[in-house]
Amino acid sequence: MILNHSHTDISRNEGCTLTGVLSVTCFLQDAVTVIHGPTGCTHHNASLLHASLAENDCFDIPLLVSSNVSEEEVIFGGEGALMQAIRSAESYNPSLICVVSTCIAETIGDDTAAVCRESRGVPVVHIPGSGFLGGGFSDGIQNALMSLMDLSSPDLHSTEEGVMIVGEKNLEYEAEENYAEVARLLSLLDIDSGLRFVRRMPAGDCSRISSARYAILRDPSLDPIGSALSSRFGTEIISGFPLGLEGSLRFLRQAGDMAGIDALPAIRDEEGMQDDLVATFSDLAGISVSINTSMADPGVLQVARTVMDSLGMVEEDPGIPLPLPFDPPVGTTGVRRMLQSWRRGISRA
Amino acid sequence: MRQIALYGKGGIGKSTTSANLSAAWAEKGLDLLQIGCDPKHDSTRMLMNGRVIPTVLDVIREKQKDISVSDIVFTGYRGVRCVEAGGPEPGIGCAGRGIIATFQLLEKLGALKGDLIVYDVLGDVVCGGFAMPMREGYAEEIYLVTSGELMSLYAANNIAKAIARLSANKRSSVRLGGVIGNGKNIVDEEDLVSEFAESIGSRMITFIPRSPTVQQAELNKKTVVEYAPESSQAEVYRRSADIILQNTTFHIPTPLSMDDLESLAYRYLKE
Repeated sequence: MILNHSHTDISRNEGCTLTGVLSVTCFLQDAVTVIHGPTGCTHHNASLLHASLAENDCFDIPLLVSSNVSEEEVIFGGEGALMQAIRSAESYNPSLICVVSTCIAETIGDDTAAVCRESRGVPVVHIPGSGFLGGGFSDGIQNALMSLMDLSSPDLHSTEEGVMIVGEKNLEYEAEENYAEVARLLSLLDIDSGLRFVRRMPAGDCSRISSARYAILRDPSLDPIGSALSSRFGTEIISGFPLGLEGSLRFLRQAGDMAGIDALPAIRDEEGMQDDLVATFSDLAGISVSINTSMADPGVLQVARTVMDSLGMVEEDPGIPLPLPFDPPVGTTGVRRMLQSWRRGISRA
Repeated sequence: MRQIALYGKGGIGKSTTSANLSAAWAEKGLDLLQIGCDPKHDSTRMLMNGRVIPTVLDVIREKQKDISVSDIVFTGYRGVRCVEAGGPEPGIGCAGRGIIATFQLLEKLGALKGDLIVYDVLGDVVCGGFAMPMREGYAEEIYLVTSGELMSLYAANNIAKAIARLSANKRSSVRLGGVIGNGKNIVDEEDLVSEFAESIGSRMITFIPRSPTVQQAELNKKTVVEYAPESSQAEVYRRSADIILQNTTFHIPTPLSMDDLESLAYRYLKE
């Protein structure tokens, strides 16, 4: 039995497991996601995804199919309704159907995995999505990546040239900018970025996951996914995107070591870029500022304070309150965006 | 209107006892409603002379709407109105939720009426749904049906726990009316069941000895009261029905620990 009695943790990472799963599957091209549960689970999540994606100028509502579990299915079992929903999903001719089980399906004991295993013309993958078992949003992402990994075989002999990017936070505002920063840093080492597992990825590419020699996880919370990739496919892993200025240099060193490339020239280039950045924002030196640490991510605080030190900013109370990003800034470019935001905040104070 | 519920281990004879008590009460001219709360839906079969009536859940599933009382309430021996909740096939779905859905529909249709409502409830799986008949507004008197077998006593003791827990709610008036001993031909069984009843702070309200007449009646698809009205067994059921009808002593039980229950059963163990 899973026991999780916290009534107060409302951080985003502890949100609904189902939403975490959908933040992955809705970014698979040519795939349809079936939500095995009441229509409300589908409606609520479709609204939430639509609102989140609209902030990123993406106005397409993800294609979701509900098995429409009602009291009848709760009493008599919902496997029939799920089969019907899968048939409905098949009518869209997808390359892949993802079936996500909700709390109610797990509570009544529907064997969702067995229904998904039945032979069909299209692959159907089951992803556990019920939050009452103790998981949250982050667990949903992991469940989705882990299940999709099953679509790849370790027997694939071809090797991807680029580095696979794993577990991008598809709903975050700066997802594309963060990816671009990682790709830029890799390019300093003449390394290409490869599969984006999963962001705007063709569903058929799930079969290629095993062929990636290297992978970079979005953040260390995805370490279990990294371990699974390593043990199943021999993939070498970097356990997180580069955070802040020092993190970027460290990332270059790690990536160079992983690929057997001398990273020193790239590190020198990047240090030069960082020096330019600090010079560009030298007007912030000596300014008294304060940061609200109560709700801030420790990683954000660490990067912010390092940058403040580099610029000679003074943290004291009272000081001009600085806006902090939700997630730690990725790479040197992420720090630049944070500094621009600080400069705007200071100029308005 | 009195509402009573009979709980006990599966196969212990709840349905036989319920049907015969209902038949005996009906003979007295009481307006009876018996509700079988078990997915096996065989509580009322003897009252219906072997007819398996459509279950409430099957009707809900098939008709969806415009369901009337006549779709789910069927009249059996001496006007006893019979209802079977029904439930999913074994191994799928949630039978407890089915009981809740049944009660909601019966309430909505105004079918919960009469002088006496008898709930015949499966006692092995006391999830929230199967505790529904004990909730506020339904049965206030619970009778535990048990033999002298340890597992039967164990199930009865578990149900006593549920009654004790529900009784703690100030708005709940559910109480234990007593223990009905249903004999399995175990030596000193009546004494054992009686001592068990007293140990949990109640009493054995009646003991129904094992009789071949019960099986004969069932093979003829009738209650004993209908099949062999002059038999001593029919008289046992009539007497039990009278005792329950006249019962005014109700208790909040004090369930035994497993060790105490085993010790009690062990003392009656005969080589």
